Amino acid sequence: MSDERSPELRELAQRLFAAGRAERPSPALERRMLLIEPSHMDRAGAPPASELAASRARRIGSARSSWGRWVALAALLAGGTGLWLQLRAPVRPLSISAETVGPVASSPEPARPDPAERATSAPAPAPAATGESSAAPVLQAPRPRPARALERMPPPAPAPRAMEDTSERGAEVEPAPAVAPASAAEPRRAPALTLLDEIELLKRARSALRAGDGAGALVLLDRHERERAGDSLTAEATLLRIEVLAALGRKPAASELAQRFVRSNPNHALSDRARSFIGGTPQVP
Amino acid sequence: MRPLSQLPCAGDPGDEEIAASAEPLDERENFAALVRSELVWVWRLLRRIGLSSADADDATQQVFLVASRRSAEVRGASARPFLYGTAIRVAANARRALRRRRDVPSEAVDAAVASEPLPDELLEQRRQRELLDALLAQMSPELRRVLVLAEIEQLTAKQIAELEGLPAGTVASRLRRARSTFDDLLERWQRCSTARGGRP
Repeated sequence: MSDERSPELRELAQRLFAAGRAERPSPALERRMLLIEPSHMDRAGAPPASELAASRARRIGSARSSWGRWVALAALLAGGTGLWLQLRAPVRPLSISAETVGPVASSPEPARPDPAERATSAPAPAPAATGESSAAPVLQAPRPRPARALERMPPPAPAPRAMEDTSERGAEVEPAPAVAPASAAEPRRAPALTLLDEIELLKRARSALRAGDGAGALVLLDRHERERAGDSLTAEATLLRIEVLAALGRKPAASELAQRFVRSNPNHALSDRARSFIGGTPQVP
Repeated sequence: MRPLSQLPCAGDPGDEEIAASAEPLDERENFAALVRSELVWVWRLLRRIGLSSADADDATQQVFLVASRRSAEVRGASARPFLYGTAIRVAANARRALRRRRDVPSEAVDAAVASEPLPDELLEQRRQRELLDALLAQMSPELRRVLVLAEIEQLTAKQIAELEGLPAGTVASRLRRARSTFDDLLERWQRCSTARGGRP
């Protein structure tokens, strides 16, 4: 404070500053922040969308550097758009339970998804389209790390929507991309997962992917597809599925799903990321 | 690329796999530590540079989302400058978006949320914060930032210079002007308040 001011004024100013200093965010905000998953580089080998955008911005060149910076910043923020939007939801303690999502890994011998079970939760790909069998992904997947793998996943629902969809197309089994027009016409199931449950389920799927348990990640994604309450996180789930398929070596399937995603959602914040899975992989006819 | 014979057998986690699995854990722990140590600071900064409580919540989330994707840059001594720079940009964007929306003013939302009865002390504190924010809102962003950092966050001129990326001399002169401006505004408010018969 300036010296020439009256002591009363100085005291009042200090009281105002102290009041500002005393303000705190709600404890719920910290819980929201701790839900954020740090992601410098995902295990599937693809850099986060923010980094892709940043490198794209760099390529644009110095002549348009300010424009490039905006693109980078926008995509940087968009990289977390899905989670960001979801985390805006009112905060409450996580209600996720073993019954809802399945137990967290603690068993020394994790159960691998049965190929037959996978076949029900994920229809067999058409050989003509991808040249892969339904069992192949499981065989190709790295064996899950005991400390992280999923112990027992509850049996999948008998008729998952994704399977009905893709078997009609005769293509590799993946759920319809987020916000796809086709999904609007499909009958809705009874909501089973809350939004926070969905977030938790997807985080677990990502953790499984990072731990090298691609098959386990697919099981979780299948479960999300069956039990999700709405379309809020479908884009994130689809992108994660693309990453899982790519990590499992199922590049054609990843590419096809990425193409469908981009076609259906050309302007979605995650479309750039999805495109990166199309470029380096063979195009599916 | 290692020859096939050197690749780990299926089920035997190799060194790379162990390292790869350990890194995310470390990242998560680092990020959680960052949230716990810097959350209040970031949120309060966003509040004092003009966001409502609800908008500050959202902006804080945006800041930490950006930080979560730049974990390599947000470590140790570089964490706070990174968070500060991001918070300033996010707040500027948020204010622009608010102006575009032209919806219910944030302050009105805060006031509505704050309508429940409060103990006298808290009520007084809230009144003081409203006055503080009203005065700060009349200052230029540059002066407002240095004043907030100095008087509310109680940072030294050197620390402020690091955050703002300015020479220490510039910060010192800016801080003098900021204090003088704030005092002028407060004095004017006090005179008006006394003239209206209210208590200062």
